[in-house]
Amino acid sequence: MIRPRAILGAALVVFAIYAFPGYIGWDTEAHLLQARSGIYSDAHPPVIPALWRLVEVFVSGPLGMLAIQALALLGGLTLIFRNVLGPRTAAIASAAVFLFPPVAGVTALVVKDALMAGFLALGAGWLVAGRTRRGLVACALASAMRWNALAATLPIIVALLPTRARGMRRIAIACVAWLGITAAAFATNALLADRHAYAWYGGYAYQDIAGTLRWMEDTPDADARALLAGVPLAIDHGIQDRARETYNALDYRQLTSGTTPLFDLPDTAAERDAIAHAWRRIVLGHPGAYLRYRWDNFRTLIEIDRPHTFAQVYVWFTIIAAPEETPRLQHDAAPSRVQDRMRIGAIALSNSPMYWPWIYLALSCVLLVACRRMAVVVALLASGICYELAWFFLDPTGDFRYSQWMVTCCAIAAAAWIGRRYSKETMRPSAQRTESQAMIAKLAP
Amino acid sequence: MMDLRERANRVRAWLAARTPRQLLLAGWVTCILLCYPGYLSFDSIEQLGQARSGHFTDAYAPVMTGVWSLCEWIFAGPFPMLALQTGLFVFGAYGVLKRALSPRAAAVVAVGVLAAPPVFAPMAVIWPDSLMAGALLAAAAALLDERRAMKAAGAVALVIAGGCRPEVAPATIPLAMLALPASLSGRLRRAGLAVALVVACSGVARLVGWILVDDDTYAWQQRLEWIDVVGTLRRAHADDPMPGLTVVDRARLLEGHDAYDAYVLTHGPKRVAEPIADDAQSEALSAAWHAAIADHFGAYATHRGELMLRQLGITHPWLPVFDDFGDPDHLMLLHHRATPSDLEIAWRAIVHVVALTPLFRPLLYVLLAIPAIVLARRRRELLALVASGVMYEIIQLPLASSVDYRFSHWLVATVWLVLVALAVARKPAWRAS
Repeated sequence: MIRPRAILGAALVVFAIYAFPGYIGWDTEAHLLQARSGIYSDAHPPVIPALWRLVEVFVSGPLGMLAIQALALLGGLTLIFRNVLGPRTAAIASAAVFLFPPVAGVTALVVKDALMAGFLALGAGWLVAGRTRRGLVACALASAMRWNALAATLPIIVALLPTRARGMRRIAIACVAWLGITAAAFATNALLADRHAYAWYGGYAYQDIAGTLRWMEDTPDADARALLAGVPLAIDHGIQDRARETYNALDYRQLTSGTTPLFDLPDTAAERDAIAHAWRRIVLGHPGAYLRYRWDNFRTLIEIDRPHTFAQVYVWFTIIAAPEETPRLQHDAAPSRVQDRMRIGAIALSNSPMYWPWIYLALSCVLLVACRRMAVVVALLASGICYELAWFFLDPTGDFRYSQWMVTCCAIAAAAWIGRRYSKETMRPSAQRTESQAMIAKLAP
Repeated sequence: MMDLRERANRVRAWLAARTPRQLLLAGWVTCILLCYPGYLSFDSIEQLGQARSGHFTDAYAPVMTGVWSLCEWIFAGPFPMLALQTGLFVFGAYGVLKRALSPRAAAVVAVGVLAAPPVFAPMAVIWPDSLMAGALLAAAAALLDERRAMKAAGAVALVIAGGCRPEVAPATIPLAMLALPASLSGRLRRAGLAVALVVACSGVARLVGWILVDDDTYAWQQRLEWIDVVGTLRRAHADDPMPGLTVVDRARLLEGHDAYDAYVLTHGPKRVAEPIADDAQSEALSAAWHAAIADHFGAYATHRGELMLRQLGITHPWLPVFDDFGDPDHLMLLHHRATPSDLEIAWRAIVHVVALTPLFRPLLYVLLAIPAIVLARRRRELLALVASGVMYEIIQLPLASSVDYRFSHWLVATVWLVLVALAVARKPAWRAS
C-alpha cells in the first residue's frame, strides 16, 4: 500500500518535472526586476517583489517562488481533504487536484494568481483544522497577493473561522476578522510601495470609459468632450467612432498606443482626477452600456465564445514575446526532454474544453448543492464563485489564470464528492461529528 | 528571558527529534542552495552542449556526458548534475561513516564535510572530478552493504567513477576490497579479487565510453603526451625529430622550461604544434612520448616532479576556487543563465577567504594522510577511503595532464572525512554501536 506521503511526494515530483524552474511571463518579469532593484511600484502588489527579495536571499531566480506557491497549494489541499476524507484518499485527491492541468498549468507560472491560490488553500486548510492564527495569516497573505482576493477570502473566513460564537454573532466576528486581514493586506502593500504607477487611470479606467462609449447611444463630439472634460484625448473629433473602431473588451493597450489611439496617457494629477470624474460620469451614468461591454468581456473570460488562441497556458522560461528581455532578467532555462513533451501536451489541453471556465462555474453551482454537508467544500465553492463573479467588473484581459481559483475550488469539491462516495476509507459523517465535537471541546474554556 | 530559554530548549528538542535521514536531506538541500544551479566552466558548458545534442566526443568524459544526457530527460541544465554529484557524495559518505559513527553523527559529519570549503569548492562545479568523488563514496557505501543489489549498485558507481577519470582505476582497489566478505581469507586472494573487480569496472567504463563516442579527438592522449613531450624536450634541450607530427615552430618548442597546458601548446598563434587529428598522428605522438621518456628520463622526471610540486601547491600557488555560472554568450544557445543568491555570494566570500589559507594546499592533505592512515588502521572502511585518496594523488605524478586543485580533490575529501570521523568517534556516544 503506497503511503500518503509518498503519493504527495510523487505529485510534487511530477509537477517539478513539468514546471522546473518556473515559467516567466510579463508580470513575473516585473516582480523579479522590482525585487532585484528594491524599488516597488504599486502596479502590482508590492508584497510579491518583497517576498521574492526575501526568497532571493536563499535561491536566485523563479525556483524559490515556484516552490512557495506549489507547496502552499499542495499543503493546503492536503489539509482540506484530510477534513473530509481518510488519509490515503485525501492524499490521492490532493495529488489529483494539484496536478489537474488547469490548476497545475497556472501554478507552474510564477504569478500572483498562483500565489494567491496557494495561500488561500493553505488558509482554508488551517482554518478548518482549527489553526486560527495560521489560517488568518495565510488568508492575509492571499489578500496581499491580489487586490481582489477579498472576494475569495470572505466566504472562507465567514464559514470556517473557528469560534465559539453562534448565529449572527459568529458571522459578525468573522466579518471583523475578514475586514482586519483585508485592511492589513492593503496597508502592507501601501506601505511597501515606493512608486505610484497609477495603473488604473491609464489602463482599466480608459478601458471602462471606451467600452461604455462603444455601447452608448450615438453621442456627438461636443457631448463626448463634455463627458471627457480634462481627459487627455489623442483626437479632437469622431470620439465615439474611434471608441467603436478600436473596441476590444479584452484589452486597453490599443487605446493609448498604435496607429489609432483614443487617449494619451495621463501625466498630471489634474488629468488623473479628470479621468476619475469622467469614469464616474460615463460608467455610472450609463449602466446599460457599461454592463453590455462588461458582458462582452466576461463571456470571453469564461470562454463562452472565445476565439481560438495559440495557448491558454504559459509554458515558457522567458517572455516569449520579448526575448530581448532575457539579459535584463539574467535568467534563462531550457526544458528537459520530458518537460518539453509535457509542455506540448499542456498547450494542446489548454485549447480543449478542459480550459472552459464556464463549465466549472456551472459545475460549482451544482456541487454547491451536492456537497452541502461538507462545510469546508461549501465555503471553498462559494469563495470560487464569488471570486469569479467579481471578475465581471474587474477583468481587464480575460486570461485563464483569473479563473484558476474557481477551477481549483470546483476540482476540490468534485474530488471530495467522488472520494466520499466511492472510497472505502472515507471519513463517515459520524466520525466527522466526533472530530468536530473534539475540536469544539478543545476551544471551550 | 525564561521564554527565550524555553524557546531555545524547544528548538533543541525539535532538532534532536530529527532523524538522520532528515538531517541528511536538509544538509544536502542547503549545500545545493550554496551553489544553485551549479557552476559551469568552459569545459562544462561544452559538455552540456554535447549532452543536449547527443553528439559525444572523447574531449569530455563520455560516460559523464551520457549520465548528463540521461538527466536532461528529467531536468535540464546543470542542476540535476549538481544534485546528483552532491547527493552521491553526502549519502555515500553517510553510508560509509555510519559503520564507524552513530547514524546521527554520521549524517552531521557527511553534511559538514561536504560543506567544508576545500571539499565544497570543486563539488559546486559540474566537473568529472566532482562526479567521480560522489560516485566513489557511493560505491564504497554500496559495496560495504551486504545486499547483492547494493553491491551491484556499487559496481555501477565504480563504472561511473572510472568513466569520469579513467586514471582513477588503481585508486578504486582499496574501495573494491570493501565488497569482499570478511570471511574470505588470504590477503593475496582478496587483493586479486578486488583487482579483478576494478579491471572489470574499468573495462565496462571504457567499453561504454567507446560506444558513446561519435568523434575521437584523442583528447586524453593529447593532454598528457604533448605536455610530457614538450616539457621533457625543453628540459633536456633536445631538438629531437618527431616524425609524423606537425611542429609549427621548432624554436618555440625549446623555449623555456614549463609545459603544463596542452591546449596552449596546440592552439592559438603561439602554438608549438598542430593538434593530432587521425590514428597515424596518434601513433606518432605516442612514439614521440615513449622516445622522449626513454631518451631523456632525467628531464622527464624533473618535468613531472615540477608539475607535482605545483599540483601540491608547494610552488606557484594558484587560485583553487572556480565559482562562475558560465559565460552568458557561450551559454546563449543552451538557454541557461543564472545569478547568485545573497546566500551564495556570502558563501563564495567565505570560500575565497579560506582559499587563501593552507587548507586549500594539497600538500597539507598529503601530510595529514599519514596520521589518518595510522589512526584508521583498525577501521577498514576509513582506511580504504584514505588509501584510495592517497593512491589517486600518487597517480597524478605520472598521469596529471595539467595543474589543477580539482585533481587533488579526492585526496582532500577522503582526508577530511576520515579525520573528522576519527575525531568524532573519540566520544563514545557518537560511535557506532
